[in-house]
Parts: sequence; structure tokens; C-alpha cells
Amino acid sequence: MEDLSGIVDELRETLNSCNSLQELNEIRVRFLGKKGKITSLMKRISSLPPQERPAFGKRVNELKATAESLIQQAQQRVNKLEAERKLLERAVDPTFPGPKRPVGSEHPSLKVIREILEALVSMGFEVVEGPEVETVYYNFEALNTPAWHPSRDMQDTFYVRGEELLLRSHTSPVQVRVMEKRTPPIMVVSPGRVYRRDYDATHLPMFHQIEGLYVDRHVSVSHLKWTLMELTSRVFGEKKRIRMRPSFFPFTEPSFEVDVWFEGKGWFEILGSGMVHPNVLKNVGYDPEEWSGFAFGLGPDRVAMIKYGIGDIRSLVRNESSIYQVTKHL
Amino acid sequence: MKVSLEWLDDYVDISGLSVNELVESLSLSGTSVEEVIRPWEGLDAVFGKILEITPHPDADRLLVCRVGTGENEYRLVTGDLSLKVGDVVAVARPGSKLFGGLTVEARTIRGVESQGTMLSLEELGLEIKSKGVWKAGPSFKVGVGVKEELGLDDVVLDLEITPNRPDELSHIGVAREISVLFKRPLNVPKAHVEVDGGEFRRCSRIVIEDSDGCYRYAGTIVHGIEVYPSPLWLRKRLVAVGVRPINSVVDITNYVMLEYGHPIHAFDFDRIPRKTIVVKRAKGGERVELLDERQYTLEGGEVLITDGEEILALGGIMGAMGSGVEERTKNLLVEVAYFNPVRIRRASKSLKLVTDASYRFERGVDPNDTLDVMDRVVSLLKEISGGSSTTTEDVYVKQVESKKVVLRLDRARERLGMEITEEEAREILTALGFDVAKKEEGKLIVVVPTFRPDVTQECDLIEEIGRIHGYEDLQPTPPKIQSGLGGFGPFWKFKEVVSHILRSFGFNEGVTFSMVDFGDVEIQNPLTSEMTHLRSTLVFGLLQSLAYNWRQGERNIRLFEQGRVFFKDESTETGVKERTHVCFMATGRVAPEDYGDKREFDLLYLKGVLEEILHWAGITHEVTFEVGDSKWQDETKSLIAVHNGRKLAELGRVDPTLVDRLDVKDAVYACELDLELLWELKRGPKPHRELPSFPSIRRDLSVLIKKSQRIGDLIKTIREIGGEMLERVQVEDLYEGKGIPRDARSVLLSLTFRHLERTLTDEEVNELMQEIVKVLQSEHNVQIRGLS
Repeated sequence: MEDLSGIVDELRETLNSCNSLQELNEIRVRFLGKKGKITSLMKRISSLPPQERPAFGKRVNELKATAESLIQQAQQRVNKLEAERKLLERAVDPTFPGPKRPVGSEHPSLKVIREILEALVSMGFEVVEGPEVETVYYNFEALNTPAWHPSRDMQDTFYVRGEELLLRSHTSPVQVRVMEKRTPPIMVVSPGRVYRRDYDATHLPMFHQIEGLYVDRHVSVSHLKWTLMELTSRVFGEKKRIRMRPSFFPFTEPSFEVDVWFEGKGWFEILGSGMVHPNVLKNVGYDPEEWSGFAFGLGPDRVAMIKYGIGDIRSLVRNESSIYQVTKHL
Repeated sequence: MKVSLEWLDDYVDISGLSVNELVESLSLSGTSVEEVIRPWEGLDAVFGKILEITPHPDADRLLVCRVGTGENEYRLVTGDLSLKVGDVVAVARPGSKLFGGLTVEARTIRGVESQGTMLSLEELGLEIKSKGVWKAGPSFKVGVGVKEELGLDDVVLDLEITPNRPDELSHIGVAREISVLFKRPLNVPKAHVEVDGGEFRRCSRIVIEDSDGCYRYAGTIVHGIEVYPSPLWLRKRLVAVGVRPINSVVDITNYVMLEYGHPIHAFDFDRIPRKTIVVKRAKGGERVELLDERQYTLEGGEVLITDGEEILALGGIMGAMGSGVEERTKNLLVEVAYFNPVRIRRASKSLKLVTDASYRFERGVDPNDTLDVMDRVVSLLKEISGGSSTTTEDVYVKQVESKKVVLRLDRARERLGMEITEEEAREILTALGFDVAKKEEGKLIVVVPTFRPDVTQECDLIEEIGRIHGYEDLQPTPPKIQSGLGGFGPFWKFKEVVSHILRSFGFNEGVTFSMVDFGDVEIQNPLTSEMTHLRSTLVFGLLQSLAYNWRQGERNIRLFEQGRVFFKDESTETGVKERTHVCFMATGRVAPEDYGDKREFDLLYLKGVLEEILHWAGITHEVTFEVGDSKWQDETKSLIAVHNGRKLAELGRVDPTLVDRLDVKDAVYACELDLELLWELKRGPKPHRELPSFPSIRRDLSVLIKKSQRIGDLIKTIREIGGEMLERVQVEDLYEGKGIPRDARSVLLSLTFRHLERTLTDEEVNELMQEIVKVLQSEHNVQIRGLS
């Protein structure tokens, strides 16, 4: 009688070193397949003498059962291994950066303009725009700044044709254009580019301005103060102390420079403002006895520099990549 | 305008007020303080007496002095060989600052240590050029501090005086403000002059021919003066406020100008050939050399002070060379005049000559303080330079009267939004120098002093009351909001949407100068040669910014700008047409932070961005693209977008020679779009369409087309054949390169067929596809690579 236990030992050994389903299948075929070791033992039964057949048959059947059970066990083990392997293949690295498609950023000055307009529109102002190439009438004369008056020196102007056509030195001419076309009450704000002959570390020959105008009955400095306080607290995101320093602009009387207090930094001059001069009202055909108003102008470039800590005003027209980091915020 | 506190104290008692209090109060009432200056800050010097002088052991031209200051003794080395034992000198100790900022150090000079320095007047700032050590003389006590003794501990305020306040271009004017703010009396001493030189008319006469240019001209002759250096107190005050001392006559005229704000001129009477003053209007073309030693040719209209023939001075601006005061001058003619501000300003502008005098006259001095000013100058001259004075000849041809303005108290209250009592209004205005009378209940008649030419109407008085009362305590009140007033307006919102689209493609929003070096509209007085014209395209400004970033090391740059461009157009109000454009520009990778997308910018990518904007505008199918031809474009890589014959946009590669000139080595692509035309063409919202309920059938068609052919023509043909059943034709893939002939492109098109009322059959679609293939092959000579 041959020893069949050698086959079991061999099977055990092979199974122990088996780590994949593929190997396991090969093992199964090698032992239990059509030409497998155990199958060929079964086939030998018929060639044995009849008296040996039952005993051999029994032993081979036992062997087959043992082998099947061993393979079954191995199957479970390998299944588990395979599952683990699959899991690993699909593993997510949570530290891997995602590919990015960033949206573009707003320009700091324009973002400030948007914020200011947002605030003013919600307070009842309407956004209006006017030409950048202006006549001397709208830029100066209608605004109570006659020729040969020293107040013209306050704004060194670029001229386009003679002394008649110029690049507007402020957004105030839009006030006049609006008042000429409408009747009060008027509540408008005009953003845009303005031009002055000045170019150094703190001045650009082209910069932005926002001009607000309110004309109605019984308008007072007190209304102006409320509007400016409300505006500055909305733009800077918190209640700000402001102070109104009497000053001079030809088109307002009284006139004020307005400073905003920044903790740890001091007062910053942000705005010019005042009550619309009666001469300006007369120039557009309004009766100053009936109507009064206030106007204010501010420089969003300067506000942007303060708000975002930009040191050199020229960064704003170079459009250097660094300025686009600061406006990326919620 | 610089004012000295010590000087101001002559007119208003400022004792007990701190510098901060003064600065704060002035700033909050309209006189802005730019800077607080202490000209002699850090000066550490005492008077000492020379006790012993010995020759320097190692140098012939140096002396070693032993100087006693009472408590201490100093060994000081000097090059001034004229010093004598017993001279009183000013000793600056090591570490002391000198006028102008230099610091005294203990130095060893040729082996002898000098424990400080004996000061010259130049080192104290009180003389332009000193010959040697200042011998102070016995009137200065040994051991006393130089700073205290000479009043060099003065504090100077640099004020920004707005153009409406010429009165504050003077110490008396600023003192008046302080007197009002702190409720302290203003005290302006009146000078008294004894006439001891006879009648003016016996020596000279004054004629005003140009009464439009000169309203008033007063003259006094002072005989027998001596021109000296001014006394120390006077020099010190001038130096403190930034004026160089020259000689007693010049210094006194400057001093009184800074005191009253009224410019004064002194002529050497002996250098006036005809001994007469005739004020004329310049005809133009006259040539004159002024005291700044420059030649001027007059434009015409300047006010001339002449002797009838020769020009003695450019009235209100500067004296002429020939009649100026010199060291040897003996007899003076002193001028105090009032000139028409506009005439002075025109002259100053046309000659490009601004002086302390022109600055004040063009803002308006007080014509009615003329005689006070004259008395003050003449009395100082006689006190300091001696001489005897004639009567003052005062020719006042055009009287300037005080204006009367009515103030309604309720109007003041309404405009300021504050409670102002009649008493307070009166008090403020009176203190400011206005005469106040009551007209009727609630109304005041206010007489405006002629030193306040800015006050002409009620609102000016209201401003005066407001600024002195102060706005610190003013209660804020919200304005009455009228419903329906506010809003952004449609064009603003439209521009914002375009910005959003471009930002969503990753373009950063830029701002560049509207002035460039070429364009349709020229600037007459440009600031630099790079900014001579208004731009007619946004491309170049943005290209500068892109290049700046490139030079900073950025390689992937996406920028856009919205703004106006300018063209000549006589049909507009101003002759200049402004149009809002947007330009977007890029170089490098399409998505540099997306490591899965390595594409670089090219013409088609940009076209895709533009098409998205056109899609939002609802006009995609109305716009055609043609090969471009603009100034900045590279002709082989450029397009224009056209709508009904009107150019809507230009896009393409920026001309490489332009780009290269800015040191950018990569290809740059740009698109400029006329936003106003887009605004005009845009359609409103599209109506909603239900999703079709019948299924679609898709076919893919792969073709090889020659580069000389247009895919648009093929798609047009396909659409025509497909008719209503062809819902969409789309480019799925584009391939050029390996495996494809160099003159061809491989394009994969997907065609979607659908019928809105029934289900299409494969047969129907196959028939259409066969027809399409046949026509493409026969009419367009297209090679079909696959159909599925």
C-alpha cells in the first residue's frame, strides 16, 4: 500500500507559501484538476485488484476530502489577503494637493470701489458715470473755480485742447452733469478715473475717485456726518472714529477734510467733503434758498493701500502678482 | 507758511498752551499743521570768556584757547587768529547739534584735543557766511545758555494755508485765529512815525496809469539810512521761519510782510533816474532783468512800476535789477501797494515766476492796512538803519470797501445741524474781526473786514461759525432716503458680469494708465514721454504690466482690464469719443496650478473665452470671425470678430517683435472687445426650453481636412444637410502632428440628431450621414477617416 500522506504534506507546504488567488488555482489544478495528483490516484482505483479497491478508494476519498478542506482554508486566507491588497491599491493619500483652477482676483482699488458702492447703493445712492475728457466748464467753472483763481493750483491739470478740454482732475464734474439733467432729490455716486500732473512715490498721474452727492431740502452737515460715519464703518468693517477738519474746496462751503482713526496708526485723511456751494447750485439752475446738499469725494487707491497694507502706490498700476493675493478673501 | 511761536506771542498771549493744544485747535478749525519744527533742537552751548590763548604747538595757523564758562573750563582749538583774551564766545559742547543738523564732536586737531567748538554765527544759522568765531561782546553773561539767551528754543509750525485764507499768510493772521480759538485778546501794536524828512511831494510823485492793475500805491522816502546786517533778534525770527537774512533793509521788508501778510518793496531812490513812480500796464515785448538776475520778456498785461520810462519793478512780483537796494544805498523809496489779484496771477503764470509777494497778491492782501504797514516798515527802518522819513504819499484810485452780508441764524442752524445762539454767532464773528449789527430778530448784518476777501456771502459766514464752534460734538443724523433713488444701473452691472466671466477663467483684474505713447488724442502738457497720448487700445498698457510680471519671474500670467479708450470724433460734445473696452491677455500655461493640464495659451483658447462672453450676450451665432489685421497682432495668428460688418473684437497673438522689445520671451495672446458695442447687441434672457422628450441619436465623424480649409464651412454644410433633425454639431477632438500630413488637421465631430415630435430611426440618420459624407467628399474634398 503506498503512502498517501506524502501528498498531504506536499499540499500543506505548497498552500502555506501561496499568497494569491492565481497561485491557489494552480495548486487546485495540480492536486484536484483532471490530471491532478489526487485525481490520478482516483483513476488508478479501477486498475487495482478488486479486493484492494475498497480500502484504497476509501483512503483516496479521505485524502480528497482533506485536500479540499485544506484548499478551502487557504482560499479564505488568500481572499482576505486579496481584499487587503485591493484596498491598498485604491488608497487615498489625504495629503496630496488637489489640482487647482483658481479664479482671477479683483484689483485692490476696484474691490474697494465695489465695496464702497455696495454700501452707498444700499444707503440709497445711484451709480452714475461721466466722461474722462471734460470741458473746463464742468471741471472748474461750474464748480465755482473761476479762471485765474489760485484754487486752480490745487489740481494741476492735463490739457487736451487749448485751455478748454482737459482730463478731469476729479469726479465732481459728474455732479454738475447730473444736476443739470435732473431735479432734486438727487442721491448719486460717481466712481472713475481722474488725472493730475503728479507722479512720485505717493502720487499717480491717474488714480481713482468716488464722488457722492445728495441734494434735497434742509440738508445739513449733520446728515453729511452720519453718511460718512456709516460709509467708513461699512468699508472698514467696524465702527470707526472720524473727525471732520474744516478745509477749503471751491465747490463746497463749509468744506471738510475727513480723517479716520486706525488703532495704533493714527488719523488717516480719507475724504474731502462739504455742503454744496450755493454758486454751484445756481450754476445748474437750482434755487439755493430751496435746495441744499452735501458732496464728498474719496480716493479708493489710498483706502486700498491702508486696508491691504500696500506700501508703494505704483504697485497698483504695475498689476504685480502680489496685489492679487490680498484681495483673495471672503 | 511757517510761523514762530515766539513771534506769535507778540500779538496773542500763548503762555500756558502746549504745542499739541495749538496744533490740535488750529487743525480742527481749518488751519492744517503740516509739521512742528524746532530749528535749534539739540543746540547745547553756553557763553564763555577766553581766559588764555596759546599758540598750537604743531601748527602756525591754529590757536589753543582756555575758555571759562563759570563752572567749567574748556580747551578749544580755533583757526580764528583774531581772538583776544577776554572775548566772550559761544561754546558748543561735544554732542551739541548745530543749525542745519551737524553735530559737534570732541576732536584731536594736530595732537591737541579740542573739547568742543567756539561757534560762528553761520553755525547758529544767523549769518550766511561767517569770517570767524562770533565775538558776542560783554552784554552776554558768562555761563548763560546761548539758546535761552537768543531765544533759539523757538518752536515753528509749518501751516498749510488754503487758497481762501490769504490773511493767514501772516503772523498777525494766525495770531488772530489763536486769539479766537482760545478766547485771548489780539494785540496788534500800531507803529508811530515822526515825519522828519519833509513832504514826499517835494522829492517825488506817484502816478497810477493802470488803475485796473494797481488800486492803491503808497510811497515814503527815507533819507540817509545805513545798510547794516540786521540785529540778531530780527535775523533769528527770519531764520526760524525759513527766510535768509540779507541786510537790514531787505530783512525789514520781509519781516513786515511776514507780520502783516502785505508784501513791501524798497527801491534805492538814487537809482530811480526820473525820481517818479508811474504805474503802467505792460504792452508786451518789453525786456527786463529782475532781482533774480534773470532776463524776462513780458507778455503784455503785467503791472509795471516805472519812473515814466524805465522799468523799476514788476509790480507785485519782483523788483528790477537796476533799482534794487545795495550795501551803499543811502535813500530809499518804500512801496506799499495793492494789486489786482487776477493781473498778478496771470503775470506770475505767464512768466513762470512765483514769489512770496506774487503768492500773497494773487490770493488777495488787505488794501486797507496799507498805511499801518507803511508806518511799521518806516519805523523799523529808522530804528535799525537810521535816516529821516517824508510824509507818505497815498494814491488810492479804486477804493475797496468792506462788504455787508446778512446772516440768518435759522439758516446757519439748519445748514450746520447744530444749535447756535445769537450770542455765540456774534462772539465768534466779532473775534474774527467782523463788525456785527442786529437787523431784526434772527438776522445779523455782518461787515466783512477787507483782510477776508474770501467771505462774500451767507454760507461763508456759516462756515466761520461752524469751524470755530467745532464739529466734534455734532450729532449725526441719517438723511431721509427716498425710495427708488438707488441702484447700480444696467451698464455697470453688465460690466461686472463680464469681469466675473473673465475672473472665472483665471484672469486677474488690472488697472493701467490711460496715457500711453501713441494714440488718437494728444495730451498738451504730458508728464513723461511715455504718457503723451490717450490710449486708443488697452493692449499696450496691459502688455507693459504683463512684461513687468514676466521680468519679475512670473511665467504664467493672465490679466484683464476694463476701461476707456479715446478717439477723435468731431460729432461728440467735446470732439473726443470715449468707449469702454475690455482686454484680456495671457502667456504661459492655461491652468498652471492644475498638474493634469499642461496646455499653453493659444489663439483658440482665447477664442473660447471670447465665445463664452458672446454666449452670455446671446449673440454667438450672429458673430463671424475673420483673419485679423490690427496694429498689435501677429498676422498669422490673429482674428477679428465681426457683427453685421461692425468690428466687435480683435484677438490673437501679440506681435512677437513688440513682446520681445519688453524682454518677454514667450508667446503672448490678447483679445480686446468693444464692451459698448456688446452692450448694444446683447440679447436679454433666453426663454426656457423643456428637455426634449424623444431620444437623440449620436454619430461621430472623423475627418481629415486641409489647413487651407475652414472647419466652419464644413459645419455649415453639415447643418444644411442635417436640417431641423440635426440638433448639434460639436468638435470633440482636434489633432495635428505625428501621423497626419503637415498640411492637414484631423478633426472628430460629434453630430446629435433628434426629432421633437417622434423617435428617430437609425435608418433616417444613416441616410443623412451618408448624404453628409458624400457631400463632404465631393464638394469639400474631405477625407473621411471614420464614421460610427
